[in-house]
Amino acid sequence: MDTREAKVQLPSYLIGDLAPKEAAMLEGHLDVDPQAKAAKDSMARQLLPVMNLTAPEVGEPALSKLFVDARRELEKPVYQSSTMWQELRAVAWRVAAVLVVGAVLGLSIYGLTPGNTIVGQLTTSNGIVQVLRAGDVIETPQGVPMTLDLKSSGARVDMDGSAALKVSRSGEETIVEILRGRVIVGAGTKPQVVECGESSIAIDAHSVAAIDFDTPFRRIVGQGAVVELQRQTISDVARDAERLYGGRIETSALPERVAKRRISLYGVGLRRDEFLDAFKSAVERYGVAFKAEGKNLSLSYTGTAGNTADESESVLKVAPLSGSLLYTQEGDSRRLSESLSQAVVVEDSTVTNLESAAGAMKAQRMVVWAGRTDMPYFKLDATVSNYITDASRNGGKVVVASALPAGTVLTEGGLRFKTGALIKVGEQIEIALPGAKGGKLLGVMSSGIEVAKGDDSNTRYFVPVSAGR
Amino acid sequence: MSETALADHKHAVATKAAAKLAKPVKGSREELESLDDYELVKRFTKGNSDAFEVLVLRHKRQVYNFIYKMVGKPEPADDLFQETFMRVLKNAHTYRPRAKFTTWTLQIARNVTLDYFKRENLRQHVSLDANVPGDEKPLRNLIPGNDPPSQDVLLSKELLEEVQGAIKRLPVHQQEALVLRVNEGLPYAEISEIVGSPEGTVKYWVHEAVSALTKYLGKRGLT
Repeated sequence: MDTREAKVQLPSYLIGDLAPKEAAMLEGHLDVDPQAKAAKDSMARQLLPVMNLTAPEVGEPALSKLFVDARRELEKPVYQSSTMWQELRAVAWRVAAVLVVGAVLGLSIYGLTPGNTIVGQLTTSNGIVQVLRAGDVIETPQGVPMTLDLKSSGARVDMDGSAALKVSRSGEETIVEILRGRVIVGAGTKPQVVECGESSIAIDAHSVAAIDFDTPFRRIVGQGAVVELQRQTISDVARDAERLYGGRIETSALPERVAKRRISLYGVGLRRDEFLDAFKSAVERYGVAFKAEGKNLSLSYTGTAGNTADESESVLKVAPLSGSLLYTQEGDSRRLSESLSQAVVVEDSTVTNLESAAGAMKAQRMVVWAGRTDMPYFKLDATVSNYITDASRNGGKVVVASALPAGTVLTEGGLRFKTGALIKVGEQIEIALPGAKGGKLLGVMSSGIEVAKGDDSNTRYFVPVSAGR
Repeated sequence: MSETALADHKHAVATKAAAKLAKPVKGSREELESLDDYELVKRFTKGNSDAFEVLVLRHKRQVYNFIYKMVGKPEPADDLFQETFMRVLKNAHTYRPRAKFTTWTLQIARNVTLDYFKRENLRQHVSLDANVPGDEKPLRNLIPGNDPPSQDVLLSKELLEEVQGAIKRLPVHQQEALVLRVNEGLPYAEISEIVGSPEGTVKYWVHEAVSALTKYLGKRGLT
């Protein structure tokens, strides 16, 4: 690369359009070419006001007028009558469908009689067992994993806290539809089909798959009694904080692309200071700083370009933790095998197939989380060797530790103890672990954290979050 | 009951209570806020004005930002914002969840804005290479020192107005591509849907717009 070629790439680089490989090449060149480096600095200065153009809020009178006009419009009979017609039509279709199915197949077919809609059972972490029926939606509260046993296929599903799924029947087959969160699915003697958005995952018999569907979700109970903010934008989290605790959190000074960065924050029984500490720590890596102005706060952008890569609304990760599976999206099928350390990542409907090292890197956190499952056919040691590359040399292992202290707030960038101490990913954390006094915080999930023992990267600890305050 | 069993029982009760509490009352504002865009569209086409309001509040910032950055003034932006959402309301029956709701709404906002430009005969394209009154004042004067980019630069209202003016002098297709990509941070696939041109073309427009702007700002002394 020469100075001219570098200059041509600068506009794309500065707005985050270069692929990571090309960006790395350009950065390497900038280190050794002062002329290109000066051009980059100059262009960055010129682009800064362009990237940071702000707009005021829409005027309150305009918004009020819009709502009045909309109400007037929606009161027109055309909306009411179309509604009645649509509902009648929907009911008619449903009745017709039931009659046709009933006539053709007969009501005695398995699955249609009311007594046969039980598809399995649900067991909470405390051993409470509930009957599971087709059509049920199961939502797990934060930090409370649950297990589903599906009677028709013999499959087992371990749901993490803050997850949701729906079970339905298709003939004799029970289908699991993942709505959000992290789950481990172990197929029994038959393959098990799992659906997630536009994706379909057919897990081979006796195989185990980890599926992580990270999608926007927001649940706030009471005055912060339960806070689950998953993949929410910085500006939306600020609005939630205002609603919860009062005061104003000004975000208008943030460039739009920064205000739209997504963060996650999980906690139980949060006070304002606890919430805000965790919020501050989560947004710091995007170059966002907090400034107190009496009871109010304002957020400002301190960095230059920051991370400008596209951020999709949802991310789906799928990895076979044991055996193999067939991943399909819109007719495009990919077979994945645990022995090849494979995984797929789906962002904005774009599927990326990852093999060996890249697949291992994406699946690592799911393997550590799965360390606590006692799923049938799941050989954890072999999975650790295939997916945690730096832990495989001397027979790596995953150890499940006691829960984190109550009142710990988790964000994807770190955690905050009730004492006020903040620990970021990559820093040392001092907590009691089996055989160790602490270690390095490697990652945070909604249900707990991943820690590596200080001088022994072969051992990975999963430390679950405490469900209580 | 042993202490452990009692603790387990309390935990189970708390878990059940949390699950119960987590479900908002049907039809309440909280429930509407938890619904996805398509569900809200379905609700307001059945006459539920609260569902429409939740949808507007959810997306007002992005839609208004786009309109404002295209027209550069609050007064027409407010009117065009209202017009956009009234068109959303009247055409909601044509919306299909194949496209994201924001993509569909931004398509409408774009059409409304282009109609406005046409109606008001506002887009007489002036090249950034041409001199216009005020160009003689170097932008360097608006920047404190020659320091690396900092928040001070962002706070200069005059500089931002200059830049907004420069953006308005770009050809309209470059301006909308630049705003959607650089300011709104949308992926190219989505911008391509909004403006109805292929992704490669949109990328080219953004690149051209950035090059023209940096060249112009460099000429004006911002180096």
